[in-house]
Amino acid sequence: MADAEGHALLRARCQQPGRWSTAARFAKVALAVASLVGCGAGAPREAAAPPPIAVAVVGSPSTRAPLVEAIAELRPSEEVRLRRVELPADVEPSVPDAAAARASEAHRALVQADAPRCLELLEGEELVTASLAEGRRGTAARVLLGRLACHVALGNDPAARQQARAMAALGLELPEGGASPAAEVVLAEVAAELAGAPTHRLEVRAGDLRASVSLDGAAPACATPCTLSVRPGDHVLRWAADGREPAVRRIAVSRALTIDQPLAVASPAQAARQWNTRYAESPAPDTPESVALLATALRARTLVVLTSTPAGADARLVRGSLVREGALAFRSEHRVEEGADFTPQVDDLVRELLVSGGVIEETSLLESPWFWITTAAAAAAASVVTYAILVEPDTRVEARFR
Amino acid sequence: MNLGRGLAWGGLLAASAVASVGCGENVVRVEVVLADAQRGFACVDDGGVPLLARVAASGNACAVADFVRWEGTPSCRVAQLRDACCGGGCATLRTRQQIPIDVPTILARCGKPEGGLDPACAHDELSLQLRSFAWSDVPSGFVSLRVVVTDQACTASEEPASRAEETEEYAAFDRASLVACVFSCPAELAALESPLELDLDVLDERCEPEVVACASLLGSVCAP
Repeated sequence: MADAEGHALLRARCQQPGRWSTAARFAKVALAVASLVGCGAGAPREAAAPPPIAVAVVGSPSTRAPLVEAIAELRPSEEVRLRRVELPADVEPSVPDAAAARASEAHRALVQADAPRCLELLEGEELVTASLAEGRRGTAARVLLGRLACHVALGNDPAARQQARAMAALGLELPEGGASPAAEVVLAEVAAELAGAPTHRLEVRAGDLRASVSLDGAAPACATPCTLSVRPGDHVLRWAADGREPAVRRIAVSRALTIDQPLAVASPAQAARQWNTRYAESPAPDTPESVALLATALRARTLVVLTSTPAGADARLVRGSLVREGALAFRSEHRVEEGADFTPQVDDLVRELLVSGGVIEETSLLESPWFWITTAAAAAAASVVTYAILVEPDTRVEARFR
Repeated sequence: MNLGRGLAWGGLLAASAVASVGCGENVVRVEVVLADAQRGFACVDDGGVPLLARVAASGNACAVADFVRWEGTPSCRVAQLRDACCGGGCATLRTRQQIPIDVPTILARCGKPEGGLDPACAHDELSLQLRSFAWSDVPSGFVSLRVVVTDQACTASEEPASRAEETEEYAAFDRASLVACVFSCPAELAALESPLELDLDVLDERCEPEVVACASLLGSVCAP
């Protein structure tokens, strides 16, 4: 008889059987997830390449070199393509002083007693106006004095006095070499005649712009809106402003006047001339005015301007400016220790500029599709592995007699 | 992070795991043996006549193998198992197999001159003949394998249905026809670490009641 505790044959362990149907369903789901992940990884979305963003490096050649190298080493990303652009060439045209040449030729004609030819060569108000617009007061004085001498030679005293009055109104000094005695007499008489003449207020504007104003070819006298005190007579005003085409007007002043001159937006070539003239060699080439002008010169709607300056004895500051639609949008600076690679700081700085300036959006990790794809893949793998570990495969039992 | 490499590793890991789960099937092979004592095949009735002798006249014998599924984990004593069955704690699965037994050969080879059988000889002969039983997909859960030998000819064998399908269609055995009965203790065969032993829980060779109880696990003898 078997013992009271149970049959001697009982050698079984309690174990739950596997459920193959559940495992199969789970495997199908896992495979589906894996295939989706695979499809996501293998077939990246067709995304339009972002427009390139221009990057300009300003400053002295020695300070520009490491920044240029750093930009070249920046890796492109899906959302930003950077393209370094060269600074605009100095295309300031070398305009020959045609008025001065005419004045010299007229002088020779006068010496040869050919006063009519002398006057013919100096005809046209544009000679004086253009000379004054270009700041060539000496040339303007030579033209007017030449006319005066021609008229004196012809015995036309009123015309000679008119030229003398014009010189006096413009405040032009006698050019080198002086004038003939007869011409000097006329000049002296006219000067005495105008000595007590009152001046007139000339209010100058350039719309809402702040533009520098030059009077009669002299150095800029004021910035608009401003008021000048001028002698009666013809004068030449010149307006100049960053990013605007300069304007020149010849005005006749006999009373108080207000002159408002709108300025057209400068062409890229004009902006390039202005930038090279005013900022290229400046110790602070990344001022708001400079970078805005540079953006126009480079035809860049969005421009990143980089420069570097010393920051003590053992570091440099990499300064960045972002220009959008012609205006400074954001500025920042990063410190780079002496001898360190500029690339990481330049990378961070450019990204900071573009994010803070609203060019690109700060990508949150949770907003990144790759984050979710990777997470899903990891979760699927973890789930399947866990399932595989915890759930034993289906068991089939075969039995036969020994 | 190298996204491509990460995805590749993740995908490879997932695919490997899926493959291991999806393609794996654990096959467990269980040996069925008759216990050494072979008391279930050597019972005599109250008159001392071996039950095996019942087949001498008919010349037929049939071994019928059934799997019985148990609710819970009852003990292995035949009386308790019968009580469990009568309480609805067991179900016969539609997996019956039948093979004819050459009883005369067993009697000729294993009969004692004074009557009865040599247990060791009977054990060997039965083991030899029962090798025709084989199951390719044993039901899961706690089951017992029971082999009943009757002096009846085997009936037409039906095709075993699903291993999990229960049935009440099998008719109870005629107790007068019972020759022997052995069974295994309830066990989860997939977890069995030793051969599945068939035996009968008896006190001595006058064990016809135990044979009847063994053969009645289907509930047909539950009535008082």
